[in-house]
Amino acid sequence: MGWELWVVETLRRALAYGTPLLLGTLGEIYAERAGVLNLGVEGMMILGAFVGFLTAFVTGNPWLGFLMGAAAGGAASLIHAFLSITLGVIQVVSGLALTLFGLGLSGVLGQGWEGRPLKVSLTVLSVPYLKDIPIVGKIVFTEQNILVYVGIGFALLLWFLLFRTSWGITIRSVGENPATADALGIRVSLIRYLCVILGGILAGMGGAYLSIVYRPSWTQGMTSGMGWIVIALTIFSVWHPLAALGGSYIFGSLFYLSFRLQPWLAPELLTIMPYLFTILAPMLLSVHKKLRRRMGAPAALGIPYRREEE
Amino acid sequence: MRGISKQFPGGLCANDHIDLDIYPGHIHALLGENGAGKTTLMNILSGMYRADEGEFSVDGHAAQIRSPKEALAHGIVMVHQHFRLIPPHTVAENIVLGIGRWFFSPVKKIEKAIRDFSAQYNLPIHPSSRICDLSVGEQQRVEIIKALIRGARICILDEPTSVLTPQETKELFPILRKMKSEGKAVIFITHKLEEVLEVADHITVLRKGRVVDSMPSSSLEADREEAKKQLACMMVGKEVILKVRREQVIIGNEVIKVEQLRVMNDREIETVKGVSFSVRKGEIFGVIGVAGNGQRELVEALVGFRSFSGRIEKTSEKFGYIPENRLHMGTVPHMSIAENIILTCYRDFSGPLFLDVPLIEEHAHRLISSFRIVAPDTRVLAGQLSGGNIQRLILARELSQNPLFLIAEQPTHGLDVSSTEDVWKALLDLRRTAGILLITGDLEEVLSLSDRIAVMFQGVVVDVLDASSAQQRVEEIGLMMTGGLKKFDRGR
Repeated sequence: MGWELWVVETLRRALAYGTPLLLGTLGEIYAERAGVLNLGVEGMMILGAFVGFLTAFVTGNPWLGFLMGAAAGGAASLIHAFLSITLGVIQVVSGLALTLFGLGLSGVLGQGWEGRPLKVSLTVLSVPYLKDIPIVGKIVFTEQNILVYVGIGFALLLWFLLFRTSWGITIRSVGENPATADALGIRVSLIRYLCVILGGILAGMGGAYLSIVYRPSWTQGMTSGMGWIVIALTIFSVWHPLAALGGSYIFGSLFYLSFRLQPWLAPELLTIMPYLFTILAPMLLSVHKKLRRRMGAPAALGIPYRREEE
Repeated sequence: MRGISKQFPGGLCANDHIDLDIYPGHIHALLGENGAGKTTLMNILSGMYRADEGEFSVDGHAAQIRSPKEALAHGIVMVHQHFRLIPPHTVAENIVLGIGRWFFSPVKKIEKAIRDFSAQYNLPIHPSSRICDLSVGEQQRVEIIKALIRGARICILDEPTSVLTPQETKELFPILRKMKSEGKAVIFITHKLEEVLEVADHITVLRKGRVVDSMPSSSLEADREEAKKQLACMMVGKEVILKVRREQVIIGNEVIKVEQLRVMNDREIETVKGVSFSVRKGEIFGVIGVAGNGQRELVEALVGFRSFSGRIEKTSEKFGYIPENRLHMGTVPHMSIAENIILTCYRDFSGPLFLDVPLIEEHAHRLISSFRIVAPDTRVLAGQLSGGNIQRLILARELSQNPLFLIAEQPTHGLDVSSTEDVWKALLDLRRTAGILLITGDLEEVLSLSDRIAVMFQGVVVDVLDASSAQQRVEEIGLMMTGGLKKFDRGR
């Protein structure tokens, strides 16, 4: 009986731990599907964490905190968008610069706010009726904070948008072959800007989750590398929002387990896991030739687009 | 189209006051060699390029075509030689891209339209197949349906059969005829006479940017072979006036011998079909043909980029190569002139560990002046040079190594007159001490420079002529280049 409870509890926590990962990954999926590689996720997340914390602290309203955190992430992403889309700078470089910038700025602004506990947080709730569904009910609908459901909602919405609407086809085409899209009258730069900003907004939201819900406080560098896991997750979920759902909860459970299993397992072992998965997944996928072409990275990822003039 | 003219920077006049009339329900062939201006003209018609001069009128009303969107508004759509499709996406996703009508489930909504058009025009295609799984012929059909669904009334096809297998080519023509019977106008750009006579109602021949003639195909000779001769003559002209004198040179030993060479291209289709020839020291062996008939694969096999079957015997492993792609294969754009000049022989300019910079500089300066490369100093990056100067740079590098054998691939393509003269002069100089294989699509060039000429069409050397007789037989060469003649008929 003991281990069953244990599994359920792990999965339940996985949803909570995985939600910031999910938000960040959904955003990065959109940016990369449009062809822009944004390595600034860590910077955007931590800026979102600080701004979110600060807003919630000062106004006493956690939802306002999320809003401002998301806005902070979006604003930060504009820097990367301008550099890589309009100026055509090497995307790896500008993304890394954004990360360093975000980490540094949040550290500077956050001085003096460290360790102050946030009194307001999101309510934790259990959904009546649904929580009584055997197993699933205990995992998904018992004692979760609202943002978990927001995360799941976003995943479904963004999946639908990407694969079942004309906007989605446009975004995916821009990331695969911007020249073809351009020839058909699509405004490649605009689409890319929008997707990068969306990525920033979601990353900011994910960061705010950390400082408002997960550990209601502010600590310098509190994202502790979560932004990098997001980037790995983007690949691991093969740029697919529904796979991102599963992937972020898997990674979330690894997170939880690395604490739980400490008496028996060095925590480092489990923190390696997400990255190991990310290496293995594409390797296994690439064995099958057809899968490789269908499920690989967007073909134009990381390549600045310039219309070839006469 | 009336009076369409377009000049490219560098002085190349691609279109010179061209008039063209297109009627619905007709298949119009635009015939000409490489560089005749056909693709440029169609790019202007489809809105990709803007003409310097000239005007359009559509359905009798004056019209402006300044972008592909405007062209589409008039029902003009171009299907390019290299398809504009997205491989991992499905047919439906590709076709519906950019059509703003539906937000939700656009793919499902367009599937019906795809099936309808597919049935109407006899273009069997499954909306849910992925482009990467389709054959080239099927991909072309997707492009055609893409144009038709967008309401194309004039469908321009750029060298549609150049990427197809013979079987697929056979399947294309009924489709074109069906489009014609549905009232569409089809313009197809080609250099293949057989196809023109097979399917075109109206033919316009371009040469060097001008319209040579435009006529309904019924007005040509009834006999196919005669008709081909007429057209070839229009395409390449009756005679070529040469401005270059070749001096007498003693022919030496073979520098390269090729036997029964067979080469496959990237799509695993055989594009060089049993070619044999040899080149000797002291001669320029010119291979003339319209680009796309196997020349590229031939050179790639000789240079070592592509596997082949058959035999290639070179006297020495070291040889010079002037590639068609000057900027990215012939030079490293981000490196300086000096670095590019020693690119293939840097070991001669270095000690055990370090490059001998003063020696390199001196060498570079010497070559810059002797080959007349226009550049302020040796540190200029290759990518900043003009086409002609890049070519001089490559020539300087390759020729200064005194090769016994040189491959020159389309060496004056896109160059201005003065650079072309420099290239010709350099090749003729080298001819005294080496054997040169010249691959070109320029008839004047091959007649001016070569001692022997091989005509290449669809992967086969149709015939090999001596320079002396070639001058009198320009029409026949034109015919061979375009598939109108299987072998030089010495009887006539």
